[in-house]
Amino acid sequence: MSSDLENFVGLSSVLTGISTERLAPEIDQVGLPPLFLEFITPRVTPDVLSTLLTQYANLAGDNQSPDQIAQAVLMDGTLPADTQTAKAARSIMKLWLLGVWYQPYDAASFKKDEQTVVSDQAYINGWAWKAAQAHPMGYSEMFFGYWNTTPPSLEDYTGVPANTQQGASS
Amino acid sequence: MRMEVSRHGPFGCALLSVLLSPSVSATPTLSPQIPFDVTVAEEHPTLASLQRDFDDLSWQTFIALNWPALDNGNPNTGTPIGKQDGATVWESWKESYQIFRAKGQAPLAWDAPATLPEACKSLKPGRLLQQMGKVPDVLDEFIQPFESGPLVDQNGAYTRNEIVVNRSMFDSIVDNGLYSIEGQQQFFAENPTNTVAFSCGSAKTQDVGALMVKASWKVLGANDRPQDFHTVDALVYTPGNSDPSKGPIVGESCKSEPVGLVGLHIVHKTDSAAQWVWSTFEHVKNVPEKTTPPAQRMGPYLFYNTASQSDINQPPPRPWNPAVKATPSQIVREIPLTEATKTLNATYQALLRTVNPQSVWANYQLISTQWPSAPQPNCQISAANPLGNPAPLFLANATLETYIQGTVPQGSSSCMACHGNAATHVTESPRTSFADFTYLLERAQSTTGQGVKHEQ
Repeated sequence: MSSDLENFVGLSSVLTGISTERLAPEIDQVGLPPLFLEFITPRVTPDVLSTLLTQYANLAGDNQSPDQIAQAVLMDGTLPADTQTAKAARSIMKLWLLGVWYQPYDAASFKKDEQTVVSDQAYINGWAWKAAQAHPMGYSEMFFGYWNTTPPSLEDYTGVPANTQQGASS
Repeated sequence: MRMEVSRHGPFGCALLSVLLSPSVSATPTLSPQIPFDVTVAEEHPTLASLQRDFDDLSWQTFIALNWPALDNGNPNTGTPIGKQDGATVWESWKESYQIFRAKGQAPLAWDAPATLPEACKSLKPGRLLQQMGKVPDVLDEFIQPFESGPLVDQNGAYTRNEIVVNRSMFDSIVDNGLYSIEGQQQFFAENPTNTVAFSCGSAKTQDVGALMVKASWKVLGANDRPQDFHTVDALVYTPGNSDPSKGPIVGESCKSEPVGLVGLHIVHKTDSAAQWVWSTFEHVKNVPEKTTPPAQRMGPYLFYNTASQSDINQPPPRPWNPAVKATPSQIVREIPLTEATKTLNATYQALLRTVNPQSVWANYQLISTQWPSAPQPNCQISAANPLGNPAPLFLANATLETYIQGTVPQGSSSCMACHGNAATHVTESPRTSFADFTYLLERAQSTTGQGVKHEQ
């Protein structure tokens, strides 16, 4: 049986399209996955999180494709689902992309639409920057003069080939 | 022993091909052989096990570099380290002021003696601490990165720094003409593929590769116990300055004084670390850890006074004048050593004491090692991840990055993040500006007498 952390990383991969190996590398000097899981648990509530992770685990266990799992978690037919699990999943998606937690609904003292930057490393390592083949505002690890050259490919940044991504460059 | 290691994901084949048949064992030993690269000990390495491997590399390199040296700089393999204190291997390497000379002059030969300023020539011979002629700024060698300030010991004296490079790195600089601005321009112009790339240590080729050492020394005063330090007789030189825009007005001076080693950065480029391996050591009595309650801070310390109420980690007020006694610094270590590093330190310190219970080298401790946790194979750098995920994220030596300790991205000391910004004098393109993680190349001066100063 997979742990909550493994299911959280698997679910996150399905939601973002980024591989689990990149979201949670074996050698991970930053350690965002456990930080994120701990951060969101009281905010989505343990019950909703358990339901969401169980839903993911069952679908993955049935060998559903990532797209099928994402559809099941996020959608109600052709419309976005209005369930707490779907809302939590959308916030998890944004969390990985931006490093910001968007509170999806009221939960204990956490009020809907509150926004929190989870940590400096969460912001720096947001996947939106890599998807844009760029770097976060105020932080760059590129060498001097990088701005004058073509950025590395989308695949280099994210592991996702650019050929199927509108607007991306390879 | 050859050991197969498997990894997945972007880390994947990173360290695999380079480190699996090392000639130097990871088992703690006292050896004059500089390790070629890290030895991965675990079949399924983790972040913690790899940190341990790199910390082992740091200690083994520390021991090899501090091995007693023959007159030619080679290790005296007939004498164990620490039997008695004496000249070390790295102290025979070339100091930055001997490489980047006034008017871009070519460095003298590797084995040529160091040139001394006139003010020092009549004194007892010693190791020159304080650079001369390179730049007009008298504060050049004892202010710290980003001009954050000098470090003052409990006797009110400034700590002095120096940077040396090994033969491999020296030859790369000289052979490619990188010691002058014009030489750098010519190097990049003569071939459109030329880029600065120092040699990588490799177990495969048995090449040690490029190494740099940055050392900090304190002048030993009446209250210091010389037998607790690695010491050298130094010529503590202060260049004169008559331009108030460049710092306080200071007369040229040179004093023959004993100094003790208090900090040592060792930086080694290897096949598994194109971003270099950054090892940093300190004297065990330098400073207490911030997390240690004041009542438990067991002094005396070299850069902290248990009886003082001064604010911690504050640079002394300007002007910074090395000729005038200053108020002692009150320094604590912001990031404590990990338990694993403390254990490893105890292991190596005990090993050093087997040679000599009073070995000065047992009075030094590894603070940590920063290494790329997502390296590319064969000493390459990923364009999308040029720093290769440094681990740990931050690393500071309390004597060399005193005032930029901490965990604030872009603000606190991270060896790779800082040195990734180093550039040559030819900033036309990323190819020509890339300086391979060393600020030394910015010290090159023009053959026309123009120069630019940078100190990191």
